[in-house]
Amino acid sequence: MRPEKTLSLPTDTEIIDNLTRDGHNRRKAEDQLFNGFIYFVKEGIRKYSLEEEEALDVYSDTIISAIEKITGGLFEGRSSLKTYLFRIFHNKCVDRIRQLTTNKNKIHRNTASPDLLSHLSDSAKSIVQHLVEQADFQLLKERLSELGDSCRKMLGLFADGYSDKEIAVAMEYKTAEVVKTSRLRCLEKLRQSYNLLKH
Amino acid sequence: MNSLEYIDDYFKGLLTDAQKEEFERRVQSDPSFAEELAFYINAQALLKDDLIAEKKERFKDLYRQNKSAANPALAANPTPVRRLRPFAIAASILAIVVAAWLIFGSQPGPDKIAGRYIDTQLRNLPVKMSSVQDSLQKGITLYNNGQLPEALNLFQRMLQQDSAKVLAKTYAGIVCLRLQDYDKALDYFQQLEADTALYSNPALFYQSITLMKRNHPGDSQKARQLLQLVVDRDLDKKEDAQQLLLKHW
Repeated sequence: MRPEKTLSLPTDTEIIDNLTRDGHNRRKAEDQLFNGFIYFVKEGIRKYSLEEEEALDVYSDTIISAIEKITGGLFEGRSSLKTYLFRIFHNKCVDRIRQLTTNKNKIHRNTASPDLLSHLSDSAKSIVQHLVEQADFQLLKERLSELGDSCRKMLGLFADGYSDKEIAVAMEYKTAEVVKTSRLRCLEKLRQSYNLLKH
Repeated sequence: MNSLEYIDDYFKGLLTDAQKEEFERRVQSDPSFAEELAFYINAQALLKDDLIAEKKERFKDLYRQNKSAANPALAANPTPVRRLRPFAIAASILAIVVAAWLIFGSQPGPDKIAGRYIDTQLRNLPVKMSSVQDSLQKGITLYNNGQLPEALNLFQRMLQQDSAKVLAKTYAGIVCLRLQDYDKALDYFQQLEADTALYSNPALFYQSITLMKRNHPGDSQKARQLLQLVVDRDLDKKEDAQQLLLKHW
């Protein structure tokens, strides 16, 4: 772990603490993490011969992936953040080069792979996968944009890994239960709106 | 509990194993429930996509800010230089050490330079082409034959008879130098130096050679000063003095 502390760069522990402890400092910690290893972009350009925009995109993906793992408790701290991040960055650079050389059209897809599917058993998964692939993402996107700011913010925070309790703190709700009820109501609203136009 | 809450609890890991099995069975037996599940999954995926897009946009702004603030981490090609810097420093030090060794380490000391000069320039004394063999010529012949003590003996006898004999004094000093009796050689050359009537006086030059050969502490520095004096005053053996200064200093 990086023990030293500089004026511009907090320690690994500080970043991890701010990412995991509560929602208040999370955005700041995300920015600190991004700024702390920003020179990886140059590495992507120099070492992997990526264009600056590609290198920045891969680096952003790296930070987002690392944030997800850290907040999900999957970062065990066996290596420094730098080593951990560079391993992810290296793998993503290799993937990106492979994508660039095989099929450029596949690089920018419209939706994230629904990783929640992996929670299901194989038999249930095959049924749901088929339904997921039949969805009209454009329509769903439009319906989502029509939800109120509060709903979108709440659903966004939940998708970002915030717990209902953390959302309650961040959005000044009284309890986590109130957040859960409100959030599921927002989701139900979206579903009805989507289904109405889909059928 | 409505379906979305049930699905929400499943993904949050709030269901028991039995409840999970029931959940899986319902997915397979209830098409409308499977549709709701597919919607939930797609909505989460879409929200996550938006989230990633929003974060990437934010990171782009941060990157631009870093670039416009001339963050050294993003300066034009700093990494290779930074990486190579220790090697460059090590290479520079090595180059300096090698150069110093070549210039100074491998250079012979003043005694060796003087020794080479003696071997090449003072191995033989000039012989006068004459049928008459005077004492000086006899001494030179003895010297050139390598009979140094005998030659010295002869030159000393000449000086006892006439201390003003310049060549005898010079040659006596040179023999002493060859015999490694440096103090005595210096004595002869200093006596020679005192002879201001000479048009051509190599005394200072020979003193320098002797001091270099003796190589006691301070001798080298004194020899350099004397050689520089020979050059500055345009004295006898000026060219040889210049050569020695170039070789050693």
